[in-house]
Amino acid sequence: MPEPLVTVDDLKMHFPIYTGVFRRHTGDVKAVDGVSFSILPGETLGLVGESGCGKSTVGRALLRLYEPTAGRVVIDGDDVVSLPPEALRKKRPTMQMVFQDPQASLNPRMTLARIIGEPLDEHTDWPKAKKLERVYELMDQVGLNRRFANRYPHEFSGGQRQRIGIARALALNPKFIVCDEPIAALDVSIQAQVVNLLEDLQEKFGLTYLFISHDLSMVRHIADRVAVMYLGKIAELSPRDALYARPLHPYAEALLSAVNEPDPVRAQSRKRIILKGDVPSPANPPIGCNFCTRCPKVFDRCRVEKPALREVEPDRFVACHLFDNIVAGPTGAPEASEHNQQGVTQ
Amino acid sequence: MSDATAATATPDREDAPRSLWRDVWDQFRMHRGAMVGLFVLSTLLIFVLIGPFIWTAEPIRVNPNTAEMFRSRNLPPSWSNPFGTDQVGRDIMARLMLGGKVSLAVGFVAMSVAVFLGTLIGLLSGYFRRLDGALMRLTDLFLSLPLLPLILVLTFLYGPRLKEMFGPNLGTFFILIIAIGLTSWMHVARIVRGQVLAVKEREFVLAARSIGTPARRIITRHILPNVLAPVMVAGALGVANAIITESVVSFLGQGFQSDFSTWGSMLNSAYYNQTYPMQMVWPGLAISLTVLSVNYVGDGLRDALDPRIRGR
Repeated sequence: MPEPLVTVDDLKMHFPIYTGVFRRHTGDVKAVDGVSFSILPGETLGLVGESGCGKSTVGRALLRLYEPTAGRVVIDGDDVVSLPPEALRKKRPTMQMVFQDPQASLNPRMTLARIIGEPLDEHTDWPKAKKLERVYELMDQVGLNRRFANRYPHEFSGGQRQRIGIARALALNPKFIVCDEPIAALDVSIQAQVVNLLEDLQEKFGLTYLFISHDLSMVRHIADRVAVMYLGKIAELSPRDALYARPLHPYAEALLSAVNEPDPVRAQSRKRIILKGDVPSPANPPIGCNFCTRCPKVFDRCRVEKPALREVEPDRFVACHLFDNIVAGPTGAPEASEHNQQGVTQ
Repeated sequence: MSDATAATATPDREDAPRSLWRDVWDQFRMHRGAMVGLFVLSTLLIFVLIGPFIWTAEPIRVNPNTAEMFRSRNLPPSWSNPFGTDQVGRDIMARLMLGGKVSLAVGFVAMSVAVFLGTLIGLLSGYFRRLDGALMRLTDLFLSLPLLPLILVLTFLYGPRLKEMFGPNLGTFFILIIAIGLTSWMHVARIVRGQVLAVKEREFVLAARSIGTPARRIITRHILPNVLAPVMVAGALGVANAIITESVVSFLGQGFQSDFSTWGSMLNSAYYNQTYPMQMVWPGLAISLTVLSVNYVGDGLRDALDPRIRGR
């Protein structure tokens, strides 16, 4: 088994809350609360979950766009969390990011050539002509006409803007790219183009992706393994096919039951699990399992003890007490008798 | 995108990156108001800079022959005095030229000082949260001070030293621009800070950080260009403000000597000679034209610097 390119170990990102006249530190929003995973070179890890569960925060903390509260993030041999500023700057070319909103992630006052060329300005001392040549090369790679080099972002469509963002991320030949909902702001017909472009580029340059999305069918298309997040923690981390065929964690099960089924016959027999209630506040999560307030299969232990992420079947990691007495074996475990209780909670 | 490959390795000339300022100038020329403003402003500049070489009437000295001086007081416009004469018989056009040089210089330089200070403080306090409290309290402090007495105290305390160093007129000029600049940056700082707070949360700033752009270049490359528009407007208004403040300070006896002419001091002396309103109209007109044209030029520049407005 090859060395993982990215290893995240117990990453925590807490945003402090200050209240009152004296701005006292009264609590933390635990946006990310102890997340661990690793990504192999050339692999795509999908990160899914509902809005506000901390997906984007994981992506940003990974590249140290936020200062993580605790944990280690080893990318290509260096612990990014503890790197001093200048070393971090030198490290930046290996890890890049594609942002969610292509409109907001491009400076409206810079031409396309300057936007794509900015990483080159920062990390190389090439002469102008060589930089321009590289910019043209990148534009070819992402399918942008070279004639657009002088134009400004507002003159492009959403899909083209996302291509600009991807070209900028590629400029320094990174190994690892965090795609932070790169398709969420795009039209469905354009989404496919952008995802295919990302796949082509991965094949061509051997890129490693962390693909953050709430679009489950798109993640199924692009990811090799998928991590399901709920309220700042990973609920389940499984290979894609296994997860989509038979989700283990009750939350993953509920989440995946929401995927639309294109076949109308099968859609009729599809059972949706509808969760009751709201996500608890990340400033004040439950004492036990984070999902215990909404879980259809909740039992007493869930309310007092947080489950740890454990390997319950080969390569399948689940944080749930339901699987505690199941020992991971080469043949896998007999499945606990599961039935989808619609709408019945607690 | 099949033509992407067809568009060849040697892009034709119009595709080579063009200079930003070329684009800006092209758009600026489309703005009619800005072009008129630029024309008026350059006419005024030519008037005050080249005018004295052509129109050689004496602007400062009063005719020592008292009888002649009395006969030449408060004359209406004529061929020998196109704008008439003032209350001691000096040619108003010559005084306008001399005064304009000083007023325009004070206006523009003091405004530049104020805009520079304001932008710097606004950028720093908006971008660096640690400096925010201290710098904004400083701004509040300056805003709460009575500014005119402060300027008077400044000129009173430091004026003599500067006058000794640079001579009476240049010394007064320096102390005035410093005093006016130091007391009018606060609004610019507040506007800039507010804009910076909004712009720095945009994703392109995050993108720049993920590239590894250091803070100083994030500020100059990404934030400054995006907060420039309101600064332009504030700056244009600042010119007028500086010209008026200079005249007030001169009137109160701490600026230029009363026989030396500036547009502001001409306005003031005409105010006490209301039987001849035309004496007030000329400097007033000059100040208004300056302010108006600077405003329009600023407007045009702001539009020209915004690529979304800049047409193709």
